[in-house]
Amino acid sequence: EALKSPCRRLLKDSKSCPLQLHLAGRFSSHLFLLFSDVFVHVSYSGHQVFPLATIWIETISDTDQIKNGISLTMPEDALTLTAVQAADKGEWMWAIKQAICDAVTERKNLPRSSSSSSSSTPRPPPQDRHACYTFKKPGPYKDAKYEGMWKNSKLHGQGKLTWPDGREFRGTFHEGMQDGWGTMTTPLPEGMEVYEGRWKMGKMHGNGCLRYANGDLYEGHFQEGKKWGHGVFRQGRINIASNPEATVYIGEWVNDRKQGFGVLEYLTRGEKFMGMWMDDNRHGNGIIVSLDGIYFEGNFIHGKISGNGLLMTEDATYYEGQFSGGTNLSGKGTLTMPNNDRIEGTFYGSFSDGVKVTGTFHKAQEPTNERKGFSHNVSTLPSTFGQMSVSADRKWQALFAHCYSLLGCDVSLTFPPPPVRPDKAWQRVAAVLAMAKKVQKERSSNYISDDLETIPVSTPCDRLTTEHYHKMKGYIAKAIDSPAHPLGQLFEALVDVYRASYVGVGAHQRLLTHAVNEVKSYISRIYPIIRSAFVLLIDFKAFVSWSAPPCASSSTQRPCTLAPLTSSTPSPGCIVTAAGLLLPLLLPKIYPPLFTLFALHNEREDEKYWRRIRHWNKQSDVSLMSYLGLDEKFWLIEECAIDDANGVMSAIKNRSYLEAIDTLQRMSTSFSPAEKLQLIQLTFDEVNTLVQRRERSNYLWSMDDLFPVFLYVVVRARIQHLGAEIHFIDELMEPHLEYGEFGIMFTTLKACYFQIQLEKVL
Amino acid sequence: MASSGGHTFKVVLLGEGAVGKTSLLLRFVENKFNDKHLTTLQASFLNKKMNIGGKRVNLAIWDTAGQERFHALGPIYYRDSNGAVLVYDITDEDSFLKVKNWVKELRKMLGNEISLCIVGNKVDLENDRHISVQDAESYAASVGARHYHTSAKLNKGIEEMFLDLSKSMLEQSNTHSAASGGSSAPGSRGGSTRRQVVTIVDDDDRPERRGCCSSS
Repeated sequence: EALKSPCRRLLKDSKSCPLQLHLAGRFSSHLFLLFSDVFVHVSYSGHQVFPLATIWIETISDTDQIKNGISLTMPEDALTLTAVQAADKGEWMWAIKQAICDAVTERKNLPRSSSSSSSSTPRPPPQDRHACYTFKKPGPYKDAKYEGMWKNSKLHGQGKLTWPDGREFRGTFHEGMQDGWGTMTTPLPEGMEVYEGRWKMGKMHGNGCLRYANGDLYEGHFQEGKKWGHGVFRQGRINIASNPEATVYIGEWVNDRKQGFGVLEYLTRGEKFMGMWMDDNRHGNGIIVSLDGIYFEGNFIHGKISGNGLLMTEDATYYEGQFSGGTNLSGKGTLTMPNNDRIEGTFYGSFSDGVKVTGTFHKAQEPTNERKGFSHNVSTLPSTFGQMSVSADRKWQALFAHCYSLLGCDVSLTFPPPPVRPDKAWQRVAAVLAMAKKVQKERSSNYISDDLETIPVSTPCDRLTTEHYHKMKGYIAKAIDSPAHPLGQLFEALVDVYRASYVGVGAHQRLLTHAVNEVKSYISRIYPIIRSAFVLLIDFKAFVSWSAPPCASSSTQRPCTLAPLTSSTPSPGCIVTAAGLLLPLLLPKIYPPLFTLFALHNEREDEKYWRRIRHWNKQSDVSLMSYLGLDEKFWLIEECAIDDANGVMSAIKNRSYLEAIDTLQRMSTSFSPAEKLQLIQLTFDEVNTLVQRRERSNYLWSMDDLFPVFLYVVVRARIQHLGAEIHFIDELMEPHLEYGEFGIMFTTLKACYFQIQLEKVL
Repeated sequence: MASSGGHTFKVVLLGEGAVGKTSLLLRFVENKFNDKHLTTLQASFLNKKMNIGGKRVNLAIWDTAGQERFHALGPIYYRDSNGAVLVYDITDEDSFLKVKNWVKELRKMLGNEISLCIVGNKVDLENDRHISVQDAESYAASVGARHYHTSAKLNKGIEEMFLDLSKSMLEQSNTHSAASGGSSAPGSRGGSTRRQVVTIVDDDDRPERRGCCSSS
């Protein structure tokens, strides 16, 4: 027959040792031949060849229907054979097993055991084996050639599939389907489509990266082969002139379409939309900002603006009313000028090309520039500002849901889900880390440190102590820096989306409110997640101080030794709040975009302030101090002047407040309001120590004396964006600090800033 | 460890340079005051705990710079304060005029929510008096403020003044919280209950309380 080949030997056939196909028709004739490498089934119409390496054999225990049965399973076929007598079955079993073993071991190039034929009970052939196979029958793998690991006739473990049309999959299989990490390459007429990421049940599922043939790139979550969950989609390339619509979308997806909250940036147009989506269209509230300073806020239905919107230009001009198309004014509305004059009427056109107006002009009744305790210009925003934007808590829900699901919470029913038991959460953390390690090993990248798997506070205790708190804080700090840890994944993703929102076109001064709210919302949403692991942490919003922490531990762990405070004055070292815990961890990661917004917002005041600072710093200490109204006893330069010759004077005089000045300067290189406040306090401490030392008596400060001295320090510290710094602290400091000493110190700094602006330039 | 509920009130001290604000303040706290308790800001910022009708009241007293030059900084300091102590020197007419200015400004910016105390200091110099008692008291009544005569030198009238001020702020916060449905509304920061140990920053209606012991 055609099966003859030089190294193929016939081991057994069903003529000499009868073997039948189970449930075969009475008149059909079947012949089975076992060769050294294949098993052949010859029937009336033709024959089928099964390579031994992909045959799994099992005995079937006798039943009424089947006597002496043998089951053979192949990747795409299964045969149930019966022998006439038990002895025949035994012989066949032995022979096939032996042949499979030999075939498999040969494939692996292992030394063939010469004594195999002599052993009466052969080793059962391995369930898991490495083999090649080419699929023939219709199905997802048709015509594909597989090379890799098998288990019980199913693809299982690492393997590689190649299709004749050029498609290729390398990765992990489970029970016959792609499952785990894998890479799929599909050649298409335009180019290669490559997916690299997680699979489940043969479909893209989990985090992955799909590069489309046209160059578009999606990075994010998949579900059942579709973009689903949080992901970034880059469409078009900016360097191709013919493509005006290069966009980056970052946000939520459902069933391959943009749905939920997302930010879409038009790279070439310099425009950004931040809002709700449905079915790939803008749908719901949203904000548009553009490079030319336009800020628009409105409600969309299926991609079209509906109802009234709010449009603001870079100065304080704003229009509230009807729109059409993009951000073209169309219909009834009110246009308000920076000086509060307004026009009511109908408007057609756009701010860039001119607006045709029919309407009534109203002169502002009275100047409304009343100083309301220096509230950072917020009053210049229209009252409707922010009403048609997406609330911060609604943003990026898919990221939080993903983190919850990593921790074993069921997010399908309610969100946020009920907290899991902490031990379960920790198990999940360990599982996630273990999985990440496995993946990293598969991709041979960096190693993940082991200590994240150690539960920082393992012994149950009913009280939160300083020691525990610091342990937890240390753990959380480490966790958020690890890309494998669920918390780290969340933080990394949040930092990404934050940057995507507020960098570039997003560095728009009108977005400050939204950016700050978003930070606060992150904190209030991350905290419950952390709380599920550390049950001992107090509930969000309520905070607590533990009873007097041991002095030794508290003084070494605090960044600066605090002056003894009256017991009711909260110091940041002894009150635990969500913001106190998380802000110092989150802010350093998003500080540049956030601070840029503050700087933009306070640009005008800061310029005014800076002009004075620059001029004043050219002055000598004596003239500056007398100009600022320092009492001569605080000049602290006479002694030096008297002691030294005139020439050295200039070098020495600067020294007196140098330490305080240095300390205050460090404010601009610290990232959290708590740190900044501590530096302000330290500055006061240093001023105080200095004066006490010089006075050699217990000098008691009154604000009359202290204010000019501190003003001098502020001027000399030359902090460039002091207005932005102050605003930053104002927005993000914890409210419980406002009444304490931090409160008045910070207020004094604020007062200095405004005083500087009030003074003449000189 | 849990203490009964208490109130924290912010009080600003306003007055021209030489009227004796600082000495007034030091007198008020000096009994309980030794070097150990001094804060960095010393006499510029003081915390005083009081017990008024069984209620704990914590006064955070903020000094301000009295120089004319820094007049414009007032709003920054008195923002969110529950009370103001306006000090003048009974021998100095200008200082009384200054107080009038402050009162006008405070009423304009903070309305009637702030409790005002007008204090004529230096009654030990009665012979040099330039502001008549009647003038001062009728003015105070006309702006809804209380008037006191004090002498920091003789430690006279000071304790009483702060006690009355605290009572008035307490009433103010009670009526305010009653008006807003028995809960402390977000705006009334001084009215929010602050505890020595367990503090709630929650502006919500439900005053959930968590001890430092396990909350679950």
